Amino acid sequence: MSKTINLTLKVWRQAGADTPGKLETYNATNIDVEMSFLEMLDVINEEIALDDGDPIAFDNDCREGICGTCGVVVNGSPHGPQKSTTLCQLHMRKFNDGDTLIIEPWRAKAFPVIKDLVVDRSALDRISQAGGYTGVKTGQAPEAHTIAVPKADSDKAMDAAACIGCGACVAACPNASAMLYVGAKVSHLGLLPQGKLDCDRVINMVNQMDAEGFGNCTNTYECEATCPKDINVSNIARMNRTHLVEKIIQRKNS
Amino acid sequence: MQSICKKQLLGLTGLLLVGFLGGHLGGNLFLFGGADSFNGYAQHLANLRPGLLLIEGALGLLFITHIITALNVWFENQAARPIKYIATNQNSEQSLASKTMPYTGLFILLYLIWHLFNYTYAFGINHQPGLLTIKLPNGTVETKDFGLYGIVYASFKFSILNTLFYVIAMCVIGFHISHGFASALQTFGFSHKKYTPIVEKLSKLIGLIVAVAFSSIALYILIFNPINAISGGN
Ligand code: FES
Repeated sequence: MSKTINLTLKVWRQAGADTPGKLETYNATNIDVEMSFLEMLDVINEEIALDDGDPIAFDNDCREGICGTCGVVVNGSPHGPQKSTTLCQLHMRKFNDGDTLIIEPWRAKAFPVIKDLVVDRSALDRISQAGGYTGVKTGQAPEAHTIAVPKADSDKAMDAAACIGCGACVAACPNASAMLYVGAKVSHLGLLPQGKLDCDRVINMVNQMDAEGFGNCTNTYECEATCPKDINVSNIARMNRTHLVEKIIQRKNS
Repeated sequence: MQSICKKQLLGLTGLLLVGFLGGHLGGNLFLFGGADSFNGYAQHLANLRPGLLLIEGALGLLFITHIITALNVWFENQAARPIKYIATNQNSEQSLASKTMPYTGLFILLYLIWHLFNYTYAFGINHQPGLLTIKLPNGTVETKDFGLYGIVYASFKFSILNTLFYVIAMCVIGFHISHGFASALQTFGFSHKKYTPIVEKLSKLIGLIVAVAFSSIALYILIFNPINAISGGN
């Protein structure tokens, strides 16, 4: 039998979008340190359910750090205290016996709470729909060498493509800005020849980002520090300069 | 205006203001040269009128644009997170300078107003005399009008509170720039594996230079009393 710990959880409970929420205290006793954070919540939920209570709602899907569905703020840190790790990949051995954990949902105007720890992140999808796509010819897959991509570019594009869209960058940003997410989407396709087809992709994405009510980036780099996939803020710089260039081209063409 | 455009405007005006500070510092260094040197420089500037008005107008516009854009960005950012976190992030890596930009900015605005009344327009509009009583090497005491130099001199030499406020303000400006300079470059899209860390150091260095260089003049007058003044007029 492996080591167990006892924790006090203060969890944000909110019945619905328009009802006020508050922190509720739960005792997490005999928690196996080999459990993941989500498994720990499962154990608590089982106990709540056995008591005829309403289990804590939280988002999750793959539980292997690749889908971007999970994520809550643990003691002020999105995805918890471990760097480069999603909440589902965070293990309870990261915590000490007797710790008190304050568990809150992502906080942003653009991410309204649906229930408890579940927030509506569809604002990010709408940004991607506004310009985070590329035009690709249909038909048979072309020969791999028809469009040559420099290695350095493909590396950067792949790094940006690691973004799983979990929204932790927004949650961590003191301004609730989505710039790291949008920056990753810009680099992901914009560095590849296929992505260079449309010249107002970034403008459209930024318009949507602003309309959703995200804040303005003030280069605090909290996003990069929190990102479970280590997306670099150089992607934000790329987005800034691409945006400037697109603006100039747009002005010239009008 | 789009968020990125707004921040680029904020960054551009900020960078231009840093440039202005560089020029201002150059002028202030004439204070080390004594009354004739500094008043000569001030006269030189005044002689540029009415052309100077144009520069002053442009400068005013820079300040106002920077302040209004910054306030707008700040208010929008407050609104972007209507419900704050209960716990504070223990793993935060945000620098104190970036966290306090709105507050250091507002403090600088206060200082700016104080500066305009006390220095910029103290002489030109109020025609306040810069009387200083100095002790000559032969022991005699003399009171005369040292012009703008006298006003600045008296303000640093005979009011510790004034000098303290000035030095604090210079440190706050330096602190503001230490984040602002590098941040502005990032906002314009400058990012490089090798050069961005250098830009970040440079940003801190510029802030440090502004704080130290401006303060040194005030402290030099306060501590060394280069013209042996024993009391100020006014
Ligand atoms: S549940 Fe898929 S990343 Fe955590």
